[in-house]
Amino acid sequence: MKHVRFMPLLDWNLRATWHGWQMLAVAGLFGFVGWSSSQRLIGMAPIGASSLAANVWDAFFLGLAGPSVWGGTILDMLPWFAAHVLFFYLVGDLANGELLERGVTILPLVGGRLRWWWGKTVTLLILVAAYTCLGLAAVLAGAWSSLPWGGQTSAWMTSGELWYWPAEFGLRQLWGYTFLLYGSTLLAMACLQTITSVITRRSFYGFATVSMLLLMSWGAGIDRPGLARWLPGSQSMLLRHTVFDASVPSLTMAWSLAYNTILALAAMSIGAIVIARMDIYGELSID
Amino acid sequence: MQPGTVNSVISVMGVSKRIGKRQILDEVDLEVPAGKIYGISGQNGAGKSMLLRVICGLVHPSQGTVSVFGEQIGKETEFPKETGALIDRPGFLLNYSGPRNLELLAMIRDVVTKHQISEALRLVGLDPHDGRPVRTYSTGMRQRLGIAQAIMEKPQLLLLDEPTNGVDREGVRELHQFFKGLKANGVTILLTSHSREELHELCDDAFLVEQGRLMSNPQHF
Repeated sequence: MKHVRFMPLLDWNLRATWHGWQMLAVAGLFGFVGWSSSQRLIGMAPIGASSLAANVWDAFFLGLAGPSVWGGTILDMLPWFAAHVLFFYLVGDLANGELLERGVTILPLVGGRLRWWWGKTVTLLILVAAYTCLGLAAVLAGAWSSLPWGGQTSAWMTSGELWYWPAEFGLRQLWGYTFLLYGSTLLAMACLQTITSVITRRSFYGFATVSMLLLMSWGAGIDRPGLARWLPGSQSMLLRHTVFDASVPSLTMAWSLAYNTILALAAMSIGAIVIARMDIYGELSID
Repeated sequence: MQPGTVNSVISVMGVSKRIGKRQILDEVDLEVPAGKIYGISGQNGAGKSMLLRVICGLVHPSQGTVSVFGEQIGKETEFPKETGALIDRPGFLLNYSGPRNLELLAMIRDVVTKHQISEALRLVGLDPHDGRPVRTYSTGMRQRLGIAQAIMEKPQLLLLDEPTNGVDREGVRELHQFFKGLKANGVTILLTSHSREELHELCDDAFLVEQGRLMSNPQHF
């Protein structure tokens, strides 16, 4: 077997999956989440208080903290849901689409099904990191159009008037938790999506499966704090974590990272087993 | 030729492929000697493309073995070495030009220079400096690009599934000359085609696939 270079393979995978307009879509959606959160904060500001009571970090938290276990409306859930679903849409054809459109070309060139599959999983990891970074930055940018910058979340936000705010939770924790919880959840669910698409040979089935899982996790967790930690998708809902809601037992950062890691590794391993035995037909009929 | 003959480039022995209840290939035996062009014809759905996929290592046979250059596919190697293939529709990144696609693919194994890519493109009648994205290519141009990709690493074996599909009459004539030139340089070619004229003009021997069974096709010769 001729030597296969991994970086050009990743380069090919990224070019096949990621296009310029997608960056605009990500920036647009997350920017809107930041802007709409800032508008909600301005609307929620106590009578007589200046809207300047809030800053961009408050909007960042409001936009990305996800729904709590205590009811809430679909509108509270939508920014969290849309942030995930957009990613699933963008990477939906990562593996299955390539198998159908270019599998017969690329697989013999790569020289092995497993080598191709690991290339796809590493590509997914890169895309998750890029998407999460871009998304979080866009939320701040969107919020900045209406609210002032701040060196920390506002006193109004941390006062406990809106929700419980842990004393030790600074900006570093807010950014770090949000990045890691979103990133790991997106990775785990996207791995699940990818392998579902490959097994069913339909990209839509993978997309629909993980989207439904997220909706079910949101709905099943409402008013059931004891169940929250077991539901896939709860891991990126900061407001369902014990640190922000003491009534939710044992849903910690460590738990969420371990949960997502196990889910991602399980999906990748199942994927490796399936891909190794898989027949590659391409798009045309199996004649 | 007896199965397993030493100078066979491709040796297919007792290969069957079943998908669900459908028998796609049924006890296929085939030996393709070095430096020859062999052809396979058959109706749509007869199993000729599936046979190429099995030889190429893309599909695992339900039973039987395939060896290419003496190595058993799926056991000693996952995909055949020294082999270029055009199976189904050629798959490329549609937003990039043909030459850029080949460059990106070539970088994965790093065995082909830009000069060799340009040469492969010229050989199949494409402009190496054409910057138009592949999505604007006609079916015939995409076929030519697929053939250029298949030959750019200068393989000793070519597996071509209806290589002149969608190519105009003049293009077909050029490609036939090109395939004959490859054969003269010792390249072995196994191709499928619906065209009796094509098989007659190009092939040293041809076979017919009917309901998954491979049979000699003397009417072509």
